[in-house]
Amino acid sequence: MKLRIVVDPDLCIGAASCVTIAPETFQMNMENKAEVIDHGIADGGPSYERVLEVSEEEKDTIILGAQSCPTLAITIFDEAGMQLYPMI
Amino acid sequence: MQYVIIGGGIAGTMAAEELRKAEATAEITIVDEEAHACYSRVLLPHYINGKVPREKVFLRAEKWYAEQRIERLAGTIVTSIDTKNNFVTIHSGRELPYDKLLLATGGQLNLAQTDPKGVCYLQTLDDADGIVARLAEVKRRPVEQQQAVIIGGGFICLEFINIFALHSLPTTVVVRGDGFWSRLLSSRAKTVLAKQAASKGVTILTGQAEALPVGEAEVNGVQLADGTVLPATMVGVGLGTHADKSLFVEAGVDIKSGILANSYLETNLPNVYTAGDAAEFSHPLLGRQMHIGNWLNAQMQGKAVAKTMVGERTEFSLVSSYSTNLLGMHIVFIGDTNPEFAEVRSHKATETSCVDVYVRNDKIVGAVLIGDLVDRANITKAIQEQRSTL
Repeated sequence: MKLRIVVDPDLCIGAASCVTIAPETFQMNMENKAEVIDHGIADGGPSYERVLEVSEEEKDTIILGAQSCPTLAITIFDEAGMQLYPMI
Repeated sequence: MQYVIIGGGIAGTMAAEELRKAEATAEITIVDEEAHACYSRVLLPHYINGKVPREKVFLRAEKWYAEQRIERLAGTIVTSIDTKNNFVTIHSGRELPYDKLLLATGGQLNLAQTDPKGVCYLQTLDDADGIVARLAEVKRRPVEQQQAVIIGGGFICLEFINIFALHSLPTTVVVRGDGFWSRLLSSRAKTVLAKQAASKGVTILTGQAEALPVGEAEVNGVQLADGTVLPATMVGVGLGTHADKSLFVEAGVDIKSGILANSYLETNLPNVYTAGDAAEFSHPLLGRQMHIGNWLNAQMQGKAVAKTMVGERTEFSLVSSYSTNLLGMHIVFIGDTNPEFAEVRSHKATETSCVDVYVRNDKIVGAVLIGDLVDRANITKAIQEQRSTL
């Protein structure tokens, strides 16, 4: 399945909890903001937003990574554009 | 199965969620001193600074508890815990029997010696509402009455510095020790931070044994031990937290600086567990009892302890970190950064940055990075792998 993952750099405070939980999907940049990477690779350069092809297990880890963000800076959408997280 | 969780912060809420996932029919009750549903304390500065609206700080909607069949007793104080007969008594007199009990009570704020109106803390959403209201009030006054003092030199102090800077309040910081985080940082690190504060016009008064907010109807200053009064219409207090011992000692729960637990977050009593800021737990990688007060630790402990409570014993070995900033200068703490238990080695140092690594028994157990975060991932990995070098 495909997920669209978006980081809001304005909300990100660099806690790096997403990197701790889902290091294949998130990494910190030089501004101390989380960036989205695709299975450990930043294809096409750094980005705060990517569409990733993931397995069910990877999806759970990525959502847990997003949930771990204390400032709700990470939003996840499914293929149909439905927001999977945050739920409210 | 009846689960009672004391504390509705992120540790208690995560635990409740995991318990429900594991056991569809269990009775789960959260006893919460807070009136509000679970919210992110880390988002409070963003809310105060107008970066997010108030409703966005909530992590769970009220209806979520009902949907999950989790009973949340809001605004409720626990008055006693009977660990022999397995029940908790709340202030209304109601008794809540449990099969398993989770203590996720967080930390109790250390208060200033007095706190007239205008003296602010930053732990709860209500505190944040109070800060928003006070800032608006202070900003309506003549400029010479718009002065701030901060008491304390840790994480909350930095939040106050950043908030007051954003509102252009001239700020003086009063600390007992010799700088920011006086008991954790090396003198190199303290110097870098002091310079950063000074360069942005924030004054730090170190070695102050006393800082007494004064004023009748409202605060008008902070008095130091030598009698000097620093004028202030807004005072931010960040003096850390302590464990509320009486309740737990009476219940027979072993406690030091926090509630003592093994690496499975099991306390000395059967069927009593702890998680989050309240827990002082044995960390398998760091090799000593750790009392950690950061978001990720609390959240992941809530998740881990729930597994253990349902019988799937889960050791907690996460190396967590926390990140903040001082007027734009990034600061990251990773792992164990207490020099009482480790040797502090300088990894990098410049005029405007500093990376210290904390080493114990020839293993890297922690680090503080200021103004230079290049090595963050590498250091975290070294701690996780219990390496002696980077």
